Amino acid sequence: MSNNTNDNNHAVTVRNVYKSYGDVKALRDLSLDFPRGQLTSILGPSGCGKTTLLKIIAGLLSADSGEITVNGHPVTGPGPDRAFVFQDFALLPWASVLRNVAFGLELHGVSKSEREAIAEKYIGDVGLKGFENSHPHELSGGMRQRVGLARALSVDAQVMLMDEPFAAVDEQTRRKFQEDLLNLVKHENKTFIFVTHSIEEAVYVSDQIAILLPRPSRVSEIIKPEGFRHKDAESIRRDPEYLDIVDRIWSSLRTYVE
Amino acid sequence: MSYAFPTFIETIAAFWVLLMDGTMFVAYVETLKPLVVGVLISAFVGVGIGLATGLSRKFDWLLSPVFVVMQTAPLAALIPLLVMIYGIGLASKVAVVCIMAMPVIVLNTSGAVRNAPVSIIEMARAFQGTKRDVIFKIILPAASPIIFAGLRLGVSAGFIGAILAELKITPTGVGDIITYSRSIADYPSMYAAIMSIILLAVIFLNVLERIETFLFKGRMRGYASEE
Repeated sequence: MSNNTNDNNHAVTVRNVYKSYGDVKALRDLSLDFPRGQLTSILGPSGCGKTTLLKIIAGLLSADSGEITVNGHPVTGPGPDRAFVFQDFALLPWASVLRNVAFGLELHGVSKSEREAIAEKYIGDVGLKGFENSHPHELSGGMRQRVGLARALSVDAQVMLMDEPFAAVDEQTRRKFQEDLLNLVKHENKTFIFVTHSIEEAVYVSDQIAILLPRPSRVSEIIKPEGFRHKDAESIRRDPEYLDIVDRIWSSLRTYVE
Repeated sequence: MSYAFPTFIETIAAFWVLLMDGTMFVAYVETLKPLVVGVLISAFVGVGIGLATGLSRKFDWLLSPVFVVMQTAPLAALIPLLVMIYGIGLASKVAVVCIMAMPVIVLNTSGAVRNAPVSIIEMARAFQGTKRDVIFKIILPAASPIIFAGLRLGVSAGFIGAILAELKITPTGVGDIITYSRSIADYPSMYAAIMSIILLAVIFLNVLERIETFLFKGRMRGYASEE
């Protein structure tokens, strides 16, 4: 491949992607690179095609034209190199936490004992030890998303695709999740692609923020908050650079919000 | 009171007599044949066709109208036609039971399959689930409570069908007790026979519900998302 060096720095590349739903143009000539081992947020007003872009990368939707590569391989459908975390958790209501977490591996054909051992580990990692045999309806929203996260982690994909994963949980849980996510990015050697409509959330967790402007969507700006990335979780929210970036993004987005 | 409306005590007494002299037993051996065969065919074929029509637009286009017609057609008026095709034996009676029981099973099953939660199906695809995985691990378990509700409705319709067949085609079994008792104005026995079929249906539906609760162990209550 000609641009091999470039591919090595980027886990995922999106090149000149177009997507329409009937007459509605969702994405127009969208190109974006996702640096390996980092968290990139896709931020924009609602209806700007954030989720469409994420689902195209996941292989759940196909682009009308353009190319998406993951680790240099073109995307033709869902693959084991990517794992998805859903906004509405997408858990099996009839299955225990253990089976839900192991479900990705179950679909990959991993044997029962092996996949349950792996699932046990990640259930512990997301702090749900003791809830293995509970069912989703017995858990709070935050706990359900922990199950969704554990399921995505347990398939050990290099790329984590997260579709507004904290949108359906309460504010306090969301803050905790954001702090946990920072740790996850630091300790897991994975590339995270994170869709959100919260400016604060994007600035707080991201190495790179891609701002999408609505229909047809294109990347209007890429912001890389670098000054406070090394700081600990609590002091980021008081960092002047953090506050500046939040303000800057809001002033460029506000005209698009009715 | 009119002669045609026996008291409850008289009916129970007649019921007891029919039970003790073996008439009821012999009658049910005869009635249960078309009922059991018809209900079994309806359950298996009905759920199968319901899955096919729920999963594929082509099957839906091809088969759903047949069952809508079956459900709405005035069955009693069509029985002579069935007799011309299948004769007056077991086959016609099984056909009546099936026509009563199958549409509701098919339509419920296909509705349940079509309304399987989209987001969980998408999740299975994202984790590289095959079409087979999606059907057996997502759609079927998600649809099973409604499929079972359809089975219950289908079975009760099947009971009606079985008696209808015995009244309209050839009087055998419980239908014979009803027809014969009415013809000799033995109304207590007639009501006793009607009561016995209701009793049997209630017991059967209860057993079906127990099986359902056992299979799902209350897991189906409450859903993953909080809508």
